[in-house]
Amino acid sequence: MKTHCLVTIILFSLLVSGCAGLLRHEGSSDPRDPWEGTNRAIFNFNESVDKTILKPLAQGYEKNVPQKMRMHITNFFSNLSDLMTAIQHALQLDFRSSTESATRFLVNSTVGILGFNDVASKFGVAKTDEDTGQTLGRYGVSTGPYVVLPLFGPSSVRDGLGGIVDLFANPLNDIARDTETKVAVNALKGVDARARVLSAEQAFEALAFDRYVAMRSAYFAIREAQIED
Amino acid sequence: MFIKLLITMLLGSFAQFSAAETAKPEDVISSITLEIINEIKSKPDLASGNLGSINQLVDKKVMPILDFEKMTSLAVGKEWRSATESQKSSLMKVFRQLLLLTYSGSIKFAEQAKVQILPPRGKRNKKNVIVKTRVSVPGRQAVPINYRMKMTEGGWKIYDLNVLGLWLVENYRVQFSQIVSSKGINGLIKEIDEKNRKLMSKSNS
Repeated sequence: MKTHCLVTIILFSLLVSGCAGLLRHEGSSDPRDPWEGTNRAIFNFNESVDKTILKPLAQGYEKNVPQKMRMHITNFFSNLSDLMTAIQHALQLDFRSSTESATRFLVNSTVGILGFNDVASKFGVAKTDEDTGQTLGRYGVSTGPYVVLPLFGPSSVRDGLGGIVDLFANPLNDIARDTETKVAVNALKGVDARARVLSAEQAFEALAFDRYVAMRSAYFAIREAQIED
Repeated sequence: MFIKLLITMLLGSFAQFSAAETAKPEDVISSITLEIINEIKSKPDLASGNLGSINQLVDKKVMPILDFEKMTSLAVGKEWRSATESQKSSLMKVFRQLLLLTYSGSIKFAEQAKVQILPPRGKRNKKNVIVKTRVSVPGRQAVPINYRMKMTEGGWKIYDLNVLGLWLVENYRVQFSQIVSSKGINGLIKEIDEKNRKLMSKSNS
């Protein structure tokens, strides 16, 4: 519960500071990013957190945890996201995809032993990803300006708000009983996600002359591709 | 004798002609990806990321199916037209190196990669198409990789590619236009060159 409040406070203060930024007008290079100045400041903060904490953790994780084990952990979190995705598909009235995601969740949770193995993919039930932001989009809610969230990274006003809902509804909250376990499990989820993009580092470095702009372009492009599917 | 020769020549040129006419953009992608993956499997120094060997592979296999001048001109944007010939060739040289360094890190995955070419849907343009593929590596979610291709005199050529939704040339265009507007074409050449050196020193260490 505490973490939720914290996130809400962070997001709210961000919106306020974002609006303040808008009033100052920051001469943005992209019309979708009117709060560029504020966003850049938060982006730089995130980069330094990544450099000093998250990336070293992810590197250590990759080095010390065997690849097989890491795959099981990735599968475990991915399985929980399938449950969320099934709900989102249903909310979008896409019952076929919803059934597929639900099937994945059921098969992987049982045959795949609590989701540690992705058997469903081997049976040819492909993974999809949907979140509240995408569902809101399906109902015509526009994304709103681009925002960089502290610690969570690139987002938009709509998807940031959707992200709060997703955090509340995260099945991890029901699995982990006490706060310490919750923090630990969520931290592992973060490190796992970070470790998976370590190999893309060189590519990103080469793609980015201005890391902020490259990250923003990548966010828009990938988000668009997600919503299209 | 002469007639025989003539017939062989005619047949030969006919075969070539029909091959160029009927080769679908999907076929170009599928044969080239297969060739490249096989090459990487047979040469261990490619998989280990040896830049010299990768360079040779790119020259031999990749460059012939790229419209590289179009790629570079699109990445540079409207200022391309105002560049001199020598600036253009320098831009193409540094940009080629940059693309090489962008993808050389991923080459180690190519050995195990499986490429699935998605069938084209609906009516499509005869000269300009998007070919969609899914590349899967065991233990990872399949990555969509798409190609923008154009019909040229030399057959279908790639002029942009998209990984996970991000168009490569588009990505560079936004950033290059900022650099060109503040530092000019020469400034851009210098900046790409510096970036290449930085990436090279990192990949060597």
